[in-house]
Amino acid sequence: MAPPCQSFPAKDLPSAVQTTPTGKLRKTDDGKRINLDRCDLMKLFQYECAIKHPDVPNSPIQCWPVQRLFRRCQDRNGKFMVETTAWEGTGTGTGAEDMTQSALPGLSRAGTDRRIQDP
Amino acid sequence: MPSFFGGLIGHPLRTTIFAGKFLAFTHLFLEYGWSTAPAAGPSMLPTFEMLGEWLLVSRLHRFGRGVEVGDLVAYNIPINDQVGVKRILGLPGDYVLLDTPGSGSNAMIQVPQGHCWIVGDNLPASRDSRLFGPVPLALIRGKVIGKIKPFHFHWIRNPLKRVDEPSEA
Repeated sequence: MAPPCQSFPAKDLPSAVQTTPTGKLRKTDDGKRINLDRCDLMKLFQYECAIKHPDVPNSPIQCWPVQRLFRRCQDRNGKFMVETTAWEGTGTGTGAEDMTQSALPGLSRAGTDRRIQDP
Repeated sequence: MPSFFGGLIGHPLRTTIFAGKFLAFTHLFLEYGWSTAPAAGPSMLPTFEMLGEWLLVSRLHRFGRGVEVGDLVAYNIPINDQVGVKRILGLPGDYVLLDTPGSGSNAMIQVPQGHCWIVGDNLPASRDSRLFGPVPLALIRGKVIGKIKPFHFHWIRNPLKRVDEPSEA
């Protein structure tokens, strides 16, 4: 069994990413705090699939992509990943979020609004 | 070869030792090297089809050794005795969404030490960490590195990439 984990809302990510699972404070190589906006933005697709016509035998399966976003950050102990699917573009960052939004139009909340149909 | 196998015929002890060595080597290879497993079920659509595909699993990555976010792993499902295949979305110390993106819940957790967060590619039809929570890395049997269809094989690559990188398709 996994130990009890404290959940937190996505908007608290900038402060939540400052600690390791053991409760120690994360520091970058030059001794600064972790700045999510400076971490590499990564993406990955998962899907929502459904049978097109469930009542017809051998009906094709249709899948809609769900984009998940991650930030690959680095502290003194190496790299760690932060899923930012629900955080990107919410404006709770530490200053560079305007850049993120203009560079990535429509990327935020991609999982809810952008359902591109796959062939 | 005839003399090799001919040397076994009529020598029960030698035959037994040979069979034992063969079984031991096979076990070593499948347990610590590479093994295959059939993929079945809707939870990994469209990455894997419902039926008819086999997976090549690297047991060198057992217990989550060297796996990264985005990799596919075969693992012992904690709530029954079967082996499942899911995608790693978080490793110890990483931060992940507790629920499905777009479900309305923005709750997140930090993956505890010695655990990982795994989610199937077909979000509505997968039972994974969203149901049973973080999975101990000790339950990871290996990393899925290839897909085998009749007369067809291809490697599986990690799809996680930088947003500014051009996509493969």
